[in-house]
Amino acid sequence: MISYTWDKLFKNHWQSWLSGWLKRRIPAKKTHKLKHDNIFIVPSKTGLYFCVLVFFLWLLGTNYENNLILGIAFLLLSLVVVCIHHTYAHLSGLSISVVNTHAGFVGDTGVIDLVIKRENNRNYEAIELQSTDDEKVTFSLLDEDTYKISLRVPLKHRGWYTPERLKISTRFPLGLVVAWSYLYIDSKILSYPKPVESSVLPTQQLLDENEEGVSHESMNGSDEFAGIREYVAGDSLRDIDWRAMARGQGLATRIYEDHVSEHQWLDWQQFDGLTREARLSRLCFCILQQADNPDSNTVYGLRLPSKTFPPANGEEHKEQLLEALALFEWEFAGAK
Amino acid sequence: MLSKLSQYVNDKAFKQPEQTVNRQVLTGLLFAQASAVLINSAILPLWLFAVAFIIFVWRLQILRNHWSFPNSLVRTALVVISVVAISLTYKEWYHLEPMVILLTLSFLLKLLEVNNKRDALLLVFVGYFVASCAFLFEQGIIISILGAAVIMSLTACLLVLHAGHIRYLSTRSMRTVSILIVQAVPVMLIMLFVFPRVGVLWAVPVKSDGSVTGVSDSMSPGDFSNLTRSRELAFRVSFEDNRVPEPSERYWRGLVFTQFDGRRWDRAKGSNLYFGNNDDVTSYNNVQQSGDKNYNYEVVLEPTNTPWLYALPLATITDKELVRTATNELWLKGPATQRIKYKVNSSLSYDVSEQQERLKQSLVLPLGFNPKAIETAKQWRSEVNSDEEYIRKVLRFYNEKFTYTLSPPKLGANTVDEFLFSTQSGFCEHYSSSFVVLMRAAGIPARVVTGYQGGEWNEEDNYLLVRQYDAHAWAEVWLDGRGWVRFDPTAAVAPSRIEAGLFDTLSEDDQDLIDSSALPSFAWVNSLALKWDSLNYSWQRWVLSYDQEEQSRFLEDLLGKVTPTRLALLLIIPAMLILLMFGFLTLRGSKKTVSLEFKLYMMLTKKLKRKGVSVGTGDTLSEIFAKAYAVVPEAKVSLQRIENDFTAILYSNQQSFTKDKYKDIKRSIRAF
Repeated sequence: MISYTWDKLFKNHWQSWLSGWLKRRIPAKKTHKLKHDNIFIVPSKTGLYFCVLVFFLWLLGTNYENNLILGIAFLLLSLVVVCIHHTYAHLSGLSISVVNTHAGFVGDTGVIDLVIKRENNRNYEAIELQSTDDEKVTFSLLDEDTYKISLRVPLKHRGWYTPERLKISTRFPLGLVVAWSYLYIDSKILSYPKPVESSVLPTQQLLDENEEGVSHESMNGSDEFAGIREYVAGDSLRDIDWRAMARGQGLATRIYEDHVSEHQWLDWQQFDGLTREARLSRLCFCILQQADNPDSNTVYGLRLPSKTFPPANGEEHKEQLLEALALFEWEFAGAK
Repeated sequence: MLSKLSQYVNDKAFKQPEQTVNRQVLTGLLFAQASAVLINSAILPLWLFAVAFIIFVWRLQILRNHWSFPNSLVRTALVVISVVAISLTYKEWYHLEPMVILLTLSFLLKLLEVNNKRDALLLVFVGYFVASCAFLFEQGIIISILGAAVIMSLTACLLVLHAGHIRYLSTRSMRTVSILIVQAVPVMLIMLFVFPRVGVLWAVPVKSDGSVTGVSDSMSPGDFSNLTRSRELAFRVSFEDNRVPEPSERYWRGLVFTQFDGRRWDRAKGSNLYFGNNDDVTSYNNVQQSGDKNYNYEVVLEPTNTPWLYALPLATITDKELVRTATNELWLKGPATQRIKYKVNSSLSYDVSEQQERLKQSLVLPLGFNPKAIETAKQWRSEVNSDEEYIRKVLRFYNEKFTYTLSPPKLGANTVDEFLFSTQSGFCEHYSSSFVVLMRAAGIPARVVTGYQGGEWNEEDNYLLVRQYDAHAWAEVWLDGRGWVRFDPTAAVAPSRIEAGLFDTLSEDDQDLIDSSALPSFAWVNSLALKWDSLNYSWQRWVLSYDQEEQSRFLEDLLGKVTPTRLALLLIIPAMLILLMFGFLTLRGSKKTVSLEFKLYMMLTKKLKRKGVSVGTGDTLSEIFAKAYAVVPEAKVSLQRIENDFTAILYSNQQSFTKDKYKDIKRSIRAF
């Protein structure tokens, strides 16, 4: 138990030191050219076991004064040495540039579009590019000069997300040494709040002060009943929530399914009492719900304390709203 | 039975791990494994091939999803059966042979477990080891070449494992591996020559049967007949300056037998006591350090599993740690299980003084044996005046009455009597044994010496090839004033045995006795065989017998004095140079090649500029030529040809633009 914690402490310490050192050594760039000052080359685990094998062969050869076995031992050791060159040559001369990024939700992944280009006529094989332990792409450059990769990046917080370092590595040809580089890509991925399911339906709260405004009976009411929103001139008298008016809550219109057509409002105020992030998450869910609504007539707007987006629909609108959510006070929220 | 076995399979085995090996890797493993096992085939028992075959079929069936992986029960059973089989085949475990077989077997069985990349890697690693083990038993040229091929096939497995889509059996994988190996060889050679050598750490006998080849440590009738029928190589000798002693002087001394029990000759009781005890050692005087009778040579002895060496008397060996016994035998500290090389200085002329006690030992005869021989000896001695005369008389007796044959009649209890007076035919062991008995009976100290006599001279590469059938036994007789003198009664019977070698001495019937399968019957076969032998010999001399002592001599030649700094420099400097070269070669590919068309264009514009044509950067080809016609109208014809060529390159298909065409245009640009 103690050793475990000690190990963890030590490991954390080492990794934070390493990433700091790497950041200084290989600063973030839009385009990285792989060459001697940013490629590291070390024996791989396989290579270390290989050296153990060489040691045993050396022992056998020495003990029986057998030059042929010693020859094999030294040949295998020389292979490791030769592989250092080959593996290095299989990584150097590549350039990696970021082309585009695609937004995603916190807890999910965003995407970076990368282009890997070679600036020579060498073959590149079995190059591995990874953003995390799970997200790994293996590719080769043989007949073509460029390779496009969309690499998924797990998003850890809302707002502009700076991807963590990417690892590009190769073990070609024999897997005995590994040449690698950690690259910080100078780009940002828009990270939307994590959608959290909300039972609140998009509508306009009649009274901001009244939390009960979202009445339960109306929520779980008939199949057709869809919600309540502020009276707009032209609403049918039949649909006015007279009971609410009688309670002195002002004029409100009851909306039924087939009436939900034009204006839906998603409001920050609907989620009173929740934290900022919780509200954003629920708003995000609502936007996605609205965007997925097969009824193309649906238009929806968003009210945030800082800004109001008039109702509209379409992909562009959705992205605009999501971006607004993503960047809402994000400097104070997610990014550390 | 197999289908029954596979019924035991466990459904869990079907669970595929994430990193399963693909078909290419498996092909590679099967191929590499088969080659690694085959290279060891000389020591493998037959049943192992059957096991290997079953395992290969099983694995293929797994690959084709017909059968599944064996479960732990089946695996354990297989291991137990194999271990039992090995212990039945080999009685003793403490030998290399059963160990290598056990390793090979587990290597084979592991194939049934290979499922993911890690298993495959382990298999390849063990494969390297198993393949190397083949060299413990055999180090000839052919096996070395085969070994290199196995190393390549294993390395190709590593390649396929780490380079996604390269096929195992493809020119690409072969090429990549060849490049790697070829580049690794120079680095290997440096390591091989310079890497510090450590002596033997512990020794496990290589051969389990403990069979001793060559002369054995005792001699009884019939012992030599096996040897004299074998064409197997005993040792090879290269002489300094190609100064070779006469055939009659080529007596390669091995062991000295002084004790006789009536049938068997043995080394003197307690002769090992003389080890390192200088007071008791026979002293040799007037040893000529140089001159006609002094020879320097180098012997490469095949593994004998015995500790004694063979050399011409009086031998001094400087490069091996050994002891000289009182009877002037040369002994290593342990049996020569590997081929060894030693440098010898032999002085054929020397004086020796012997202790009285040892001379007395050399007169002892067993009581009650060979009465007739003893009586005859005494009688003959009394008829002559001196020992020398007596010896001449005995030799004449041999010469007149005896025949030389490899298949003598069997002898009874009184071996010497029967041989001397009834059968009168035999070979070296009979002659030497009876001769020594006759000497001792006459009161002359004598002893039997065994070793080899003669050898075949390889004209082409100037070395002496001594085969097992050159094994010989002769006698040494103590003569006052002359010391131990060699007498060879066989020479008295068959002088050609000494002058021309065994083979020419034999009758045709006897010739058939000698390992007839390997006997050359045509001159060209013989010369080819000799050539092959000299190739093998140089391989062994220069590659196989480079050892600790050779290394320190080599380094001293190279460095003067071996200090750690100099050694490190020697290791590092060439390694650096080679690495730099490789670095350059591997990275050279990054240089952008300029197309030939562009080269031609540059050449043309340069030439035109010199002629005074102003070529602008934005000019098209036709504009350039138009300007050129205006400035140098006299060259219009050749320029037009060049223009046509250029247009052809630019607008026709690329195949028509060959290297020859390029040279052609280049010439015409130069010329105009």
